[in-house]
Amino acid sequence: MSYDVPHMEGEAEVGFAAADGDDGWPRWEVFVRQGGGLTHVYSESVHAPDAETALLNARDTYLRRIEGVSLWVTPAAAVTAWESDQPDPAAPGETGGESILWEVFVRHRRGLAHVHAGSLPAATSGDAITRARQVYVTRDEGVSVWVIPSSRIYAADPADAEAMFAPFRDKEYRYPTYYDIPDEVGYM
Amino acid sequence: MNRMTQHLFDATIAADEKVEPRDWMPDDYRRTLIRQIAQHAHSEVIGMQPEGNWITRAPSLKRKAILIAKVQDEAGHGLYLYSAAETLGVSRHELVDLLHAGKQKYSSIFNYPTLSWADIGTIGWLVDGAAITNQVMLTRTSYGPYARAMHRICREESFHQRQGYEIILTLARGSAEQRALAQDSLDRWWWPSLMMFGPHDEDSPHTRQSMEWKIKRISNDDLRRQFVDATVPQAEYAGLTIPDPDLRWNEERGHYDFGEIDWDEFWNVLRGNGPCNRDRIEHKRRAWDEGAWVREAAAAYAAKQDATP
Repeated sequence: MSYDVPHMEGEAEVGFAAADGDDGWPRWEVFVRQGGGLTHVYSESVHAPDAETALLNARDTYLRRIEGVSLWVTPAAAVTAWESDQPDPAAPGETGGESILWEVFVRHRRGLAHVHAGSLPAATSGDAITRARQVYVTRDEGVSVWVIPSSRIYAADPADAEAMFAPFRDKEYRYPTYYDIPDEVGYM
Repeated sequence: MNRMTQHLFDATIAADEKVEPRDWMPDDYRRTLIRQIAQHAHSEVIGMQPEGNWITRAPSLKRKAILIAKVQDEAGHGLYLYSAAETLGVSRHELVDLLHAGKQKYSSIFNYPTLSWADIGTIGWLVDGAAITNQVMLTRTSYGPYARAMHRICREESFHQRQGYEIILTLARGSAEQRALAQDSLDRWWWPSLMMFGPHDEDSPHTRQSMEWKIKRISNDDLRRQFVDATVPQAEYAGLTIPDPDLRWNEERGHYDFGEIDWDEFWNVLRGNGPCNRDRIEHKRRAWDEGAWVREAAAAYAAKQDATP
């Protein structure tokens, strides 16, 4: 909940020198595909020491009532971002290196979360951004593009899907309709 | 260099568009958001204590299960909000440290004790009711991640308020003793609930800027009025009396008039002298320290995963 808590003496001014880590636990970005959903949608982040725990934390945090059918996590550090109001990323280096597969996520409009658009091969993250914009972003949309090496995305094992995603169905008392509230008292 | 500048930021706000994490934003906008979202997150987390107090003593297995689910939700809400704060360039760990050091606040409402089972009903009905009033407004806040966290939270709060009001209705329709419990609880929580909306608009120096930035969309006094208007009929329906002799319907304004909050109490609790301020932080610190073995075990498990490819 939130309130207007007046400024008080002794209150800290928080700097924002992007400190990373949470007791040594990295931050993981979370993507959820909901039941009936076509794509994975960005669902904020969790902290965890490893991918397996990140998946469990993500499930417990973001899927308490939402029917997830697939869950992805990736270390926050694996994301390369490009924003439409920023200059193009540095031209791909002359590495001539081998291509790897990248997953592409696009924020189509301010206020919306990034959604998975597809994947493509590229040698560098800059290259992946450039190609992602050509392939997945039409002229007037796509305010933000993320690329993540496919190998850095961890998915819940489909064999465990039932155990992983079942809890959202339990406990009908977690839903507002479980409670009988008379109409006379207004919307609640 | 980032081309998003003050001009683009202003245009984004003016167009009612959302500001997103990698956009340029004024330092004070960022600072205001970090402070507000952190306080919001801390409130969710500290708010688990007064309710957790009754888990072992809930009057039935059903009520116990409901309360556990609700307290779990509060933890989840805290995590949504820390995650939103982190998009502004702070770490969750830093914010939790500041809470433990008493250098960041949480809502004063959680510095009041839960003395009877009826308080669990009242918290859901009034405290979550007040929070919903605020949070529905915040789903339209100008910062994207905060607005999205609010959407998630609001989806879950309806259950919280309804289960609370149902407890109150059940007690109010019960024995004389149960009815007295419900009334006593309302007597104790009514004014602190109104205090949740903060000082009067004229005493809230940061409100104007927050509203210009569209972080807040409705002022403290207007939100408080909304809450009173919605809540009075609910109390009447339950046959309970709101402890305010000045409360009456004002036909002309189309709102309830109500009495003045005891602002001395408000400032006193905020300064750390409420009934439970010290307990809440001590408990929080102890829980963090006593949870060290869980963090160590998780880290050891992660290290083992790394070692066995």
